[in-house]
Amino acid sequence: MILAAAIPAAFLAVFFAWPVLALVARGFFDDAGGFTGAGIAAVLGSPRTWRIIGQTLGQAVAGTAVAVLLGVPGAYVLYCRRFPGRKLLRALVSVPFVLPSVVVGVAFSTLLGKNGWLGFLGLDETFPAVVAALVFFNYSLVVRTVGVLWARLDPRTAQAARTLGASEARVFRTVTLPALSPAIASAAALTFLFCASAFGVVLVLGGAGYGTVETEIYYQTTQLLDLPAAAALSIVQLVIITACLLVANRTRERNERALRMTPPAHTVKHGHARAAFAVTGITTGLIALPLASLAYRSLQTADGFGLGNYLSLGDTAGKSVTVSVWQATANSLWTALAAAAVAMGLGALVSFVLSRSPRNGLSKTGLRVFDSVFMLPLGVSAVTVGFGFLITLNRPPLDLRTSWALIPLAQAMVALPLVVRTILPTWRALNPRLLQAAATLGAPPGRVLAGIELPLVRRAFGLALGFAFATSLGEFGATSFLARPDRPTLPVVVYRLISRPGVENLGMALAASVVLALLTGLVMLIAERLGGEHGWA
Amino acid sequence: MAGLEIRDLTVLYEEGVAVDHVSLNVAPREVVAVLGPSGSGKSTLLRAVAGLENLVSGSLSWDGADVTNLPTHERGFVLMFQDGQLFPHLDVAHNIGYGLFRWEKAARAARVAELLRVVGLEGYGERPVTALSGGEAQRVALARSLAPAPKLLLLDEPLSALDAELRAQLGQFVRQTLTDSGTPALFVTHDLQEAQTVADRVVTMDNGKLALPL
Repeated sequence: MILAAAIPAAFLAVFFAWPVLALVARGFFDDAGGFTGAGIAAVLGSPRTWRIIGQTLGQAVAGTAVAVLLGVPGAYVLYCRRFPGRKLLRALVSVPFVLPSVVVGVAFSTLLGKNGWLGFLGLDETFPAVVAALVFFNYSLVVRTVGVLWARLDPRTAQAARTLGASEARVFRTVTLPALSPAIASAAALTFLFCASAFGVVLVLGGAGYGTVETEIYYQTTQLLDLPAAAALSIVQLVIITACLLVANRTRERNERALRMTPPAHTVKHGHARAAFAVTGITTGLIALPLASLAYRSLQTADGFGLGNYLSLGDTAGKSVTVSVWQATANSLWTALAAAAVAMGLGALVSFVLSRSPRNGLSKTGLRVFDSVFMLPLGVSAVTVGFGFLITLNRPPLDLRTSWALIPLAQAMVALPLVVRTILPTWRALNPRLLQAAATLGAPPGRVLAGIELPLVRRAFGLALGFAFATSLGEFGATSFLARPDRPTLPVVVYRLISRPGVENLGMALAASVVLALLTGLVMLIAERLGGEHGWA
Repeated sequence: MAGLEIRDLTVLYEEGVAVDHVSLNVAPREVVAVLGPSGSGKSTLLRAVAGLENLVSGSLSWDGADVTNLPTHERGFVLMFQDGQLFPHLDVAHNIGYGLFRWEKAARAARVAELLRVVGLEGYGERPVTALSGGEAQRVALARSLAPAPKLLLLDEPLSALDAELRAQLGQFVRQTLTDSGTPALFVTHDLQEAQTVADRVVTMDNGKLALPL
């Protein structure tokens, strides 16, 4: 038990706390090593910083609001009603959540760019474009979280209200909506968190003059080489994200309580709700649009329609990347495999420790602290992790600068909270009396773990492995700092290709994005098969 | 003294005292029923004997040896839950054989077959436990509890989830099975008739305290 807690704690200390704290310290000390608030003050005094903070919060608020407004009707249609094609629609809307951010960025620019299907709207490189992409990403998070609770609500409560004379609209406002509020709040808080820390999609779609704290850190580090300013911005981001995380944690606990109190009901709900169907129909159409646009455009070449872009993925000569897309794909797969293995190993240990229910008060407190500590990487931006790695793990005592292990370690830290959040709810939901029954039959704790607990949470492990692998495969924030020019991953190559002019580069970027999207989709398809229907809290 | 000896046992919940200075003995081969309304602390008493509760005070001993601080799985007291708590991922035979993990494979199979016969479920070994009726599930739970030949069987309202007819029938059956195997038992129930059917001796419990025997 102590050992199971110590291994992930040590990992977290070396590969998360140390880099992030070193980064924070960098913001408070000058080159000579003296303590100074000057760096922070300069950054906080600049109007540019406040504009960027404003843009970060603005796009997160807008993205969250739209995602919730569209997601609540979606939850009703996709989780409470039965109709042919429901499974397919659910699968379609869940695709964006795991798509690499770079791919989403590229897909939206093909759609909104001046040659795109929606180019006439003139939205390319604007605030609405970024918000649309954020909604695209998080729609399924809202649909899933709210839908799981909605499907479990006892329809008789609403029926009682109807017989008391309330109209359908009034029942929705006074009975259904309050019952759903824990799930809506939880989904909104998490969506806000993901929107506020979005990186790849903003970098690709935002264009010049538009940025968030995340992209600004990247810009200050890689373009202006102003590390103190970047460190100061990282602190700003830490503050924003920690606040989001505190709110998200509180709402998550409320939602878990609400879910525990409502046993699954399998009643098909009646009612007209044409508006909900219409909104959901349009939304799912809009979700399919960028994906279709990306696939269509990847088949357009300088000399007509064909597979030219895909055939050129094996080339390197004369292009702006030094390795072929296939080589980068192989790099990505190996890196993601290593990252997923590390994240799963640590995630399993963390979930094991957090699913214990000790009987004495001291252990209970210790467990609560351990829980919050391991949710921190969910909140700390991937860019901060990557940047922190860059400045700490490149010199003794731990010089990993030239080691291939650096990227999988960073990706594992980013994936770890997702793994824990996937496994832990299932593990915690195991009936404790089932385990007590095994103990009274004479099984020591290790036997109960191997024979009862692990077989019962096995499906969640499958899904978590899929999440870990898929997020590592598409991870861009941390990797963009750490990838060496001669060993880039696929998302890094896609970004390099679209940052350079030329029809050929764009064509390759589009084809490579399709490859990345298909790989990620395939991984999640297998994981869903292994994991089955599963809510993510 | 031989058998189970509960001395001055107290368990505290956040809501108050669940078990209040309870002392009770269960002799070898004896079946004792604890009768009480819901919330009287009788289930907590049972869980405490199994080692599943923190004790504020008191001690437990078996055949004169103190077991107060022994972990649950080393006590040899099997607890049968109200709702069976069968392991959903194991079939009937593997549920019954769960407590026999130290046994030789052949001996385990023979013991499982024997128990299936005892509870009248021959041929059910490979069925998933999710396909059993309520009465069948409780018989499997009883077989699973008896299989490792426990020193003491703790029964927590094992029949209360069943309908009246089945309850009367299974009550007789539990009585017969316990007598035949000579297993001492502590049996918790809120049904007087059931207590009298199953037990040699009935004690009542209310508000965490043990009252006079009936």
